[in-house]
Amino acid sequence: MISLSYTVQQRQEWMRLLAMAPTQELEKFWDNFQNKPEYQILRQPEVGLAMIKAQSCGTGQPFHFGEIPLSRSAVNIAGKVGHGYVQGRSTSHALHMAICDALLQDDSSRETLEQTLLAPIAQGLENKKKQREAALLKTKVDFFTMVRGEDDQ
Amino acid sequence: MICAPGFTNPVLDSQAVYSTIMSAMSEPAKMFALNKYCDGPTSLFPTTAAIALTLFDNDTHILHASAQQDAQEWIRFHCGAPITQEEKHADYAIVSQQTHSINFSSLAIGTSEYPERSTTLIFEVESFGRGRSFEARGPGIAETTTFSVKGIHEKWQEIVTNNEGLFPQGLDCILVSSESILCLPRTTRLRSM
Repeated sequence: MISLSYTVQQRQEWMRLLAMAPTQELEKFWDNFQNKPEYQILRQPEVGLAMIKAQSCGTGQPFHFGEIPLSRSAVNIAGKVGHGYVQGRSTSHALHMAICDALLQDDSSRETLEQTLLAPIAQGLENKKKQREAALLKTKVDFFTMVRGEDDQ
Repeated sequence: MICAPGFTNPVLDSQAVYSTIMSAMSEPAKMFALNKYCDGPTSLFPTTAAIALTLFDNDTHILHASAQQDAQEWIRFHCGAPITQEEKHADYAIVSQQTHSINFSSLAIGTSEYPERSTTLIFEVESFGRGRSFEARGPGIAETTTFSVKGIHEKWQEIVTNNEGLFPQGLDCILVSSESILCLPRTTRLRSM
């Protein structure tokens, strides 16, 4: 058993953020990264299909909803293997995600990345969500039934 | 443990390797050079690794009876292929000279309805052009052709000879050295020289 300096939940969270981040943000981050470590590509970025399974309701039979394009890649940076799995056909996103994942597994660079990369991504996603909510709120309709006075009788 | 990288250029490399395997299968007992496309794990030849990347996928069961875990990890990572310990389920079996734990008589030879559902054996050999010489004949060979092979699992000849009585069932063999391949499909007959 390998002891890790981060929890599984931590990694799940940064993988989520990296996968949902705009591709340009990851590319820009890596372009501006100081003292870039050498990375070895274990799995060349590639695009494939993944089957989405869905359930019609809580008790329904699972069925195959359809396929989505999925890009993936794997890199090795100084013994840390980073993976990138992202929806869509952006191989660059998958590669940069893999690099960031490898860097995040490394104790010496994790904190820097959390502050300079993950925090802005999380903030950006949060803002986007708020904007969408605000846009939707404008069209919100409240349905309510007026008292018809039947209860009094 | 870290897996060694796969193909640098997956599409073109696998097409090139596939083309070489096809040529070698259609001209049995003839040696074909296989360029080095990837390093692969330390316990496999780079040529075996290239063949694995080309032919193995998640639908093929691989029999790799070796103590070396790195090759199995590597095959799982890059090919997504399940590793099996049961001879009769194997679509491909990798056999080096040191492989002892494999029961060749249980390998899948196909059925008369589906003779293609058989195991393809990949023998890792020390070298071609040296060692014992053989004369081969059969489809794909004009008259006869000769080849010699050194450092191969002791049972290989028995397997190729057995094919004679099994046709249309049988076991196809790919012999791999560190830089070239030679195929002996089930139709090829051998004679020691």
